[in-house]
Amino acid sequence: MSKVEEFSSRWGLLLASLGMAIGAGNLWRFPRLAGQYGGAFLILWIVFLLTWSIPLLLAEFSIGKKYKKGVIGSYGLLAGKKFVWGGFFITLCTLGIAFYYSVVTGWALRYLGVGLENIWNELVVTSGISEQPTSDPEQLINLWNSVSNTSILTVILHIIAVIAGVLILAKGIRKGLEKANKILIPSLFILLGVIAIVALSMDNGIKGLEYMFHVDVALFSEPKIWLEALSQSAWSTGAGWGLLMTITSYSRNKEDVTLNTFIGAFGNNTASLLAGMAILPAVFALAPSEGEAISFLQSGSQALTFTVIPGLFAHIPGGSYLNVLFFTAFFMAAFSSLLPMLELFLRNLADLGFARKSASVRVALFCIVFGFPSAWSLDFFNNQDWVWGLGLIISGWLIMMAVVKHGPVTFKREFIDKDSDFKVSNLYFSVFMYLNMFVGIFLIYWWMSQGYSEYPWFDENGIWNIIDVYSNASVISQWGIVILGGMLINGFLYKKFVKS
Amino acid sequence: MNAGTIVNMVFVLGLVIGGFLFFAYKAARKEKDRKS
Repeated sequence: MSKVEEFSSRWGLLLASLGMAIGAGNLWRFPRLAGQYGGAFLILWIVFLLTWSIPLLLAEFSIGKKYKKGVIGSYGLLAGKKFVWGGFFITLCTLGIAFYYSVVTGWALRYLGVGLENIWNELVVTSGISEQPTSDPEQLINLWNSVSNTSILTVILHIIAVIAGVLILAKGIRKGLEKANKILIPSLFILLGVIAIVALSMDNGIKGLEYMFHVDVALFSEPKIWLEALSQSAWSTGAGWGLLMTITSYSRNKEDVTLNTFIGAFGNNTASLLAGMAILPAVFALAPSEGEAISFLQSGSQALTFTVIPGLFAHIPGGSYLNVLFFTAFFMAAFSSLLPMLELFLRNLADLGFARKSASVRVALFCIVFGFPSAWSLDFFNNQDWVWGLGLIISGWLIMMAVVKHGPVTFKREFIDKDSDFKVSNLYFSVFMYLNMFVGIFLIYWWMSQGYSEYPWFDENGIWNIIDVYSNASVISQWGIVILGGMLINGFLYKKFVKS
Repeated sequence: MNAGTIVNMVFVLGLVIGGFLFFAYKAARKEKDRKS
């Protein structure tokens, strides 16, 4: 058996971990919530970083590092012969996200193209900086509708994103993933820093910071803010995705689990804060009134990113340049997260015995074909985002279940502490492993009871409502197919991914 | 911006960005020690 490739240094591994965690959610979801709920949300978001995300990331990091296999194999080795289907669910859940994440990357490329076109028009056509053609809200909504539905160009950009990702990964870990992240992540931090400085220097820009950091103590009594903060921490840090498990399967044997996990988790939250400090001051400085700024933040992630921000930037001199910087940062964040998602699939194929290049071709074909419906239809995209986004809580729950089955203290001693210079306490790790299993179930129940669908289970004719974008029936059906499928082929999965 | 907001801003930025830089510094030191 050939030796598994390793990252060349700790920084290669750390940048890959940061690239995995810092994604579209840092730029389009975090600033929205931070602006709406302010400092109370930020405090809870830090609490859940320490209580939900870090214990789960510690577990994932150490499992990947110890077993050096893909998610199915590593999970099967920890959870046992009868539970390999758990790794299958985690893999398919993240793959379900990868199929539409390339579409998000494609959208970013499309808007980057529009931004560059505007700069070209300003410089060449009008010979100077003027108001962009995209400042009209109706025009921006039309542009978004044309990009997100039945657009051949979006399909092509989705294909380009997948092929670009796979071409990088086909080069291997050191020459591909590590090298790409060495460019993407520092550039992303610099871009966010530049946008934050420009936004904060605008008149009223400081208002955005006031909204972001002002603590309304009354908000602590609202369950919604606790659950939003927990969800944001769970989704944004990449805890439970199986991605860190995949990345650390390429780590060196002596790699420090605890220190590296803390750097990745705090680094992700640093990027979120920078994004909040870039976007919120811009929204509050450029919106006609504070009331409208708040309503922009409540308009949803896609609307804020693709119809509000370009429109706001278009009102200021040089805004077209700011727009390009923003979408470059957005593209980098999305692409740096797409890479490990593709790698997760690739690693599992490698465990099946495929050579890296041949596995890369298969990953590309799968992602292009299964990502097509999301590229073509926004409803399909939103359904997949809802189903597999929530599914990540199940994935996290499965990882915690495997740790609890092994015994949290024994797991910590054998998997985490061995190569860690500084150690978290046994009590901290154990308590949150047990507690989070209940929290995870409640979180899924809460999201499902939010009433996003008019007919969450059965439609008006009494038929199981699998078609509706946000129906619980759709969520349960798709999860059920994957879980039952995994259980049916559990023996095959064990033989191919674990025993081999 | 009132005092409470400033205190919270310093707390959040200090804890998150400060924490990130602290752990990164620790890792850099460890890497240096390992090489020397």
